[in-house]
Amino acid sequence: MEELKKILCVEDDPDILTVVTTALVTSGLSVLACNSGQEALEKVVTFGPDLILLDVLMPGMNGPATLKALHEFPEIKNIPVIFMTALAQPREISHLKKMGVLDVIAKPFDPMSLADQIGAMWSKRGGQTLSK
Amino acid sequence: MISTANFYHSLKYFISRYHRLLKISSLGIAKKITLLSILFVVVTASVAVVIIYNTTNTELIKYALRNLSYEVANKGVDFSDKITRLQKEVRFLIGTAPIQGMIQVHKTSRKSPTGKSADQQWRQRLELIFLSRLQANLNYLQIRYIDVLGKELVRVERKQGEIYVVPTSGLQNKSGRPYVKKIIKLQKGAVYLSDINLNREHGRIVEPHVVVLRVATPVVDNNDTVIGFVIINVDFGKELERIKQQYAGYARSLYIADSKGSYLLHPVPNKIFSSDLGSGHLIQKEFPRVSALYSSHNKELSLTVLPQGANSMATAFTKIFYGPTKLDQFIVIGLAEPYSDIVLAWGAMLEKSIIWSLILILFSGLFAFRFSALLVKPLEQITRSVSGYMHGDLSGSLPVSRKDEIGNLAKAFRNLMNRVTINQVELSELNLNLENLVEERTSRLKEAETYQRAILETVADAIITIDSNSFIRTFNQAAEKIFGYKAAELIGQNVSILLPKPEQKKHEEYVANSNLQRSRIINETRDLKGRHKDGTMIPLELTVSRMQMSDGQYGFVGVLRDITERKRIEKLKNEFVSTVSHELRTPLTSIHGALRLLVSGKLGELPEEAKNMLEIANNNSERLMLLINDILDIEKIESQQMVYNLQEMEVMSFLEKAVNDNVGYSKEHGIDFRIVQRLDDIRVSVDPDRLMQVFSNLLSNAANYSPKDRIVEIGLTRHNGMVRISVTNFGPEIPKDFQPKLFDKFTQANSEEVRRKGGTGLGLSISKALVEEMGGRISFVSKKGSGTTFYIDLPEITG
Repeated sequence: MEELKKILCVEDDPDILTVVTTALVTSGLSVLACNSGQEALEKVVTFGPDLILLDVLMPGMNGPATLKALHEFPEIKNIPVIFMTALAQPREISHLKKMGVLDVIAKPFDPMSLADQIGAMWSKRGGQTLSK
Repeated sequence: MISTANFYHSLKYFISRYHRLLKISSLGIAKKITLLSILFVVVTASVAVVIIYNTTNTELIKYALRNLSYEVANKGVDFSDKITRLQKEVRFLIGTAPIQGMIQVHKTSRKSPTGKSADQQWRQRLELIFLSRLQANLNYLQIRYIDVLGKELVRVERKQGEIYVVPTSGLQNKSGRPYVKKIIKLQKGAVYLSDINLNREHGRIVEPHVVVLRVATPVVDNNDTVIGFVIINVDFGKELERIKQQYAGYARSLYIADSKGSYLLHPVPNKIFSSDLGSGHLIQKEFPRVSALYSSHNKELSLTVLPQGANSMATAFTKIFYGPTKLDQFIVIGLAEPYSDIVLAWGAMLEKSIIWSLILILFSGLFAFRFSALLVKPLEQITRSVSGYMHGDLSGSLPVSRKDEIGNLAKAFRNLMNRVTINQVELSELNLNLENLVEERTSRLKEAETYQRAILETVADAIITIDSNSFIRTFNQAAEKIFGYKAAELIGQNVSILLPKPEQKKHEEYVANSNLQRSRIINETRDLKGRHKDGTMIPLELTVSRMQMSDGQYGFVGVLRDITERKRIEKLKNEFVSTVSHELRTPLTSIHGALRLLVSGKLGELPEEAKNMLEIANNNSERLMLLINDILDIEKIESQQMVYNLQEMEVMSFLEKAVNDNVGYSKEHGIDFRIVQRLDDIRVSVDPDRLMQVFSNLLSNAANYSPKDRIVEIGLTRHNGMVRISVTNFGPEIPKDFQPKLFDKFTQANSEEVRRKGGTGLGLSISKALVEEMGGRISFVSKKGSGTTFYIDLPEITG
């Protein structure tokens, strides 16, 4: 099993982006923070992440749109994506999951356990990503 | 004969004919009574006469016939006696000494001719005996002793009243006669009886006629050989004459006929002895019924013939045999009585009684008329007085002085009239009062009605009343405004016209139920959709109350409020809350995240003071987050946007997991969660996430309020057919006045508590809503000393 090292994080709110980045870096992960979907698309191939954390509600290009755009790159198609959202109702989560993401993380999240949470999701990705 | 049917027909005819003349109903009582009495007496008497007449007539005839039969039978007995006597006589004669002597002589004479003188001697003695018998019996004509050859040996006879002993020279030879031939063939002791005929001399009927009966018996010797016979000729005419004499002067007629039907006796003299005289008169011809007695195969010995009309006769006949061994020799005796004779006496009596009856009827009619007048006169007087009184004439007098029932009636009327006079005065006073009262009440009622109408018409809510069949009775102005209909269009229509399809069905059920029992909707407020005249839907709030209508039926008053505006505001509020909460979350995420990172120490050690401050900030940011989450939950529950993912779930393992997951609370408060009651394989249908939310809330509350180092008990039991999850803490009692508000929003026992224990004040409110939405119930018991227990009851899935 591949080890989770590099995470691309896309979040329009710079404060949250900082917190997420800090939390993950503190846990020993390599993080590339992007302020918008656009930026993520520009940097993703170069960065070559193992996993992408994607905010749903963003001005301009939102989460699902970014996800769609990402899927256009053949080399990126198989990189698992986790949504982060404040609309953490079950209906919304199941709706988001249907878009072909690994999982959904509800905001507000606990920065102390965020890395563990993502790790747990990562470890069960096999079936999910292969089937896609 | 008068028959009841005939009488009935004539009565009916009379009534139909004179019905209009009678006009019974218009007659006075006196005449009615008189008429009815007379009618009654006449009918009764007529019916009685008819019945008595018919019955008596039949009885009379029966009696007459019985009488006739009896007499005829008597005659028969007489005749039989005569025959028996004659038979005895002739048997006696052959037993006399001379005959016995002559038998001896006859025997010896064949051997010795000298016996002649002895024979002569016996003959003379026999002549003497015969002579004495003729002298003793005046109707004996002759007695003879004749030998077997037909020669007369002794003959004594009566001629013109004198008795002669015929000398030997006068004796005849009768050998050719049929009776001689018959007699000499007879056995010893047998008796010959001839038919009763007219006497003949030398083959010719002797004039004047002599009716003869011959009786003979054979004389036999010791060898039983017939040697002769003794024969008596009896003048039976004398006997017949004697019988006939008994009926002289009576209307009854006697008939006697011999065994051929030839009359021996008949009221018409030339009808007798038809066989001797060749006249051809036979009893069978005159009375055809009698031929029954002549038929050889008929065993009847007597018969009676009823009279067949006013001129006919009642007759009785009887058949008399000459002797028990002589069944071909008999006579028939008949007795006839004219019908008119039978009923003659009775008819006269009947006439008399009819006349007397008519007189009695007349008298009773008069009496009835007089008597009824006695009764009716005072009644008329009373009637006149009372009707006069009714028309204001007080001068009429009443027969109050009488001591009888009419007097009592008059007194009663007088008292009644006095009472009425008093009452009239009182009544007119009362009327006056009543009129005033009515006027006053009416004006008050009008005022009240105006007031109520004003309320009804100015009130902003639609007020609609319907009867128990859902037909609209009233429809106020506000209702007109809400629904777009005019009251006149709707009164009498079914209320379902104001409801959309799904509501119509619900409404019908409510109405049906409310007639049977107290419906849930009565006096409760609920939201529903109404239908405007133009077809648009209007959100409405409805309160229904049941009322008794004037016709005894139940009706309903519905108060409807248009809540379009309220709904719009609610929606706005919900959207606002939702948006604000979301907007709050974003900054909170970074605040909370940043604080958590700082407090964790991963970003480097901080001075003690700063660390304390950061912890305060962190705790409060956490509380703020919980509060926002709870507000979002409440908002979702209230706007019914909460989604439940119901699935079957085993309860025990769920509880174990929940206790495990919430172990953080127990550690934090220094207590211990312990499952104390277990039930395995219990399944419920719930949304596990939502149930976990509720259960965590109860655990966290229990941990908050439990004294330190105490156990919080968790149990799974069954209660009232439901699955019961209980959470008990042994903390202080929930204040009594607070208990009813426990599940309300934003409630906590006191604000100090809030600060100390944390929590949003929404937890139990959310829990209650979630449990109820999943078909369960939540409740609690709190008592000083025994702590507080919360219960979640859920329907169990069985089988």
